[in-house]
Amino acid sequence: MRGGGFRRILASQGTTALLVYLAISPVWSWPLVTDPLGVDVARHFDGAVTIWFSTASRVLPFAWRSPDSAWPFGEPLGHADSFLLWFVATALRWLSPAAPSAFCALLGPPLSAWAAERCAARAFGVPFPASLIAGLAYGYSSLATIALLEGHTYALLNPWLPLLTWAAARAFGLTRGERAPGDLRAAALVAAAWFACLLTSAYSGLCASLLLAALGTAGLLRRRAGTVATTAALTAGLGAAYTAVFVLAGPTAAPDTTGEVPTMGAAHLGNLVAWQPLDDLIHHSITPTLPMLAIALVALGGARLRGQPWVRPLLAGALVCLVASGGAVLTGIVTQHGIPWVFAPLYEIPTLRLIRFPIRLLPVTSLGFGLLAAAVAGTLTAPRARAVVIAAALLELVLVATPWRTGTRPVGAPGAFSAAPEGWAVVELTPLLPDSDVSYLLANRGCEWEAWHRRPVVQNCFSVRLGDPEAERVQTWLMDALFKAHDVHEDLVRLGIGAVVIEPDLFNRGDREALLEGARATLGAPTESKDLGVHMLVFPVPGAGGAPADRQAALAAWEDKWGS
Amino acid sequence: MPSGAQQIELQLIASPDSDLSSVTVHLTRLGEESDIPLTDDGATPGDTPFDGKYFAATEGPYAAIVRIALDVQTTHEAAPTRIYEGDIPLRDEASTFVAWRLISTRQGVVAMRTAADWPFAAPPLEDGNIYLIGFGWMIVACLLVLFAMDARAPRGERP
Repeated sequence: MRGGGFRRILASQGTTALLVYLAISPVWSWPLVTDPLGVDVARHFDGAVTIWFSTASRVLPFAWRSPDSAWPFGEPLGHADSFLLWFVATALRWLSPAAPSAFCALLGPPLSAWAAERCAARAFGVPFPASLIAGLAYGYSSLATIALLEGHTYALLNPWLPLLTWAAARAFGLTRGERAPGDLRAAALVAAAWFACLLTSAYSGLCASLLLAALGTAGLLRRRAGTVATTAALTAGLGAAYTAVFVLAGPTAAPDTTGEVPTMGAAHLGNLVAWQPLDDLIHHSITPTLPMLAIALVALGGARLRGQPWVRPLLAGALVCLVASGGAVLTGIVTQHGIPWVFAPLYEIPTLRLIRFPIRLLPVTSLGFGLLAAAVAGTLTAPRARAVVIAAALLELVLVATPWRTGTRPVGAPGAFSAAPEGWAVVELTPLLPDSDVSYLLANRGCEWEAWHRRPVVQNCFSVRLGDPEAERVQTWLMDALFKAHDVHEDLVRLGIGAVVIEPDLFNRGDREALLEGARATLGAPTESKDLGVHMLVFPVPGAGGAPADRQAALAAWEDKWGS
Repeated sequence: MPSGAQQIELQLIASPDSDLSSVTVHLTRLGEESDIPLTDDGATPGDTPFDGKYFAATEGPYAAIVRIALDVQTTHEAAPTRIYEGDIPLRDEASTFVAWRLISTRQGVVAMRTAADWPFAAPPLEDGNIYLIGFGWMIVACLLVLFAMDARAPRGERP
């Protein structure tokens, strides 16, 4: 019996769908699967901080402050973008610091795709294999590619949005298997899925809220006011708890009051239809290419879905998010002037300028069009539906081209860090660079290394910003002192800093020679390493070492030197 | 993890009628400095001679980030001019492409980083190639018109 049951599960369409998505994943994220704990395939600098957070979040939930960065102050962790990453990191703590990110990158898309496929099949009755289109359009969308290339791998593990759609459609009477009006359990399921989205990332929570608004409105029209109200009350309670954690963690980055309109994170008419290599070089891979095949299917065959109550709210949610993704200025390409768009009035409120990446609302569009397209394909004959599924997979591969766009960077900490005394902070001196992307990369890389060498770092890691006042204060003072060969080792010991790190290749020849000469004269001979692609010199500070540095004494020394 | 050598392909895209007499990259890679001349004589496999695209390739141990300075000299200049200097992260431990486009400004020529690391690289949209966008949105517009017509059609008219 048992063997028969197992064979039935293997032969089930749900299992087949999961296996298909699992088979796509290694190709999509290539070459991550070749060494998941040893390489990072992100092209941009946030991948390093994702790895750092996986380790730093180990102090949660007992402490809400990371002791490992912003030495000697530490950083509040209540502002985490993703608490989901903390759950994954906790489960994989016994593995490498790179494991949580790799797990999300390799298993996130297939699980998200599977959830969308199951939603299509079970909630909306889409037959297999047409239901596969929903998962391809959502789990392997261009937004997933952006998350992979930018290094926000936790955003890839988001099966919650399809599960929210499924639960809400049933709770609000929009599909078969619908629940009775006022069913508390159905409302609780919807709220739980919404909260899981919020824990995945703030943008994912925003997506879930917009989608829920569309589905809830449809629920109200179908006389499910009780269920909708119960859902709203539950989500409001969960949202309040989340906000409380955020607020109690302390002040966050001040809202932008410069009046400058954020445009880089918005979709424009160019990147919605095509990707170009320059986007990966200077535009942070902001390439939200739309699922054109899904849109075409919906446009050509949408009439076949007439009369199904879930279609209009899902289409409305998808279109609202598509329009909103244009941000404050709709342009043809990123550098052009454009026309004021939907976010223009919203950005008048400084707090709302924190929504700097309106493209991250597009998962609702991918999911909506994916589910609708799957339903249209489900009305075709089986051979035609199969052809459409294959075309969808190939188009995704060619138009978004994820495997051709990934980078390959070994992760770990350079060997020279072993010369830095344990329990003492390290400070890296980097040149002032005109290219802010490289500056961010250097700052974030230092945080990633911390996950391996386990010595606190002076720079901010959680909310990396250029011109970070505390870190910059130390770096500027120290750089100036070393250029002048002033002896500062006693000050460094008082500040709890046990090692000074310099990557000489980053400096031009003149600065390099002067800086290294000063450092050798002040701190002695460095330990050199050339591994992981990094040429590094670590200067242990004379007098540091032995017992770990005293954080309170370091704080007092800091205040003595620079004030509070 | 890095096991083999890393190849860096260097490219400067100038106009075919530019009168460059020399293009040289000064590379600092894992503490080693080297001068690499870029040529446009067809010596590099796949290079069309004298089309204004200068190439060179260099191989060495994997570097995650290199410092690169780019000097060019024209036939009527006595000494080379430095038109670019900076730290460049290399995204791939096996092979990577670093390219610049030569831009003439009122202050003289400057080099701007450009992408050339994809075999089928399309001309950058910033260059004014808006045909792709227009074509893509024309298709979307046609589909939306069809959708609207479909939605307005009376029930039962279509299968």
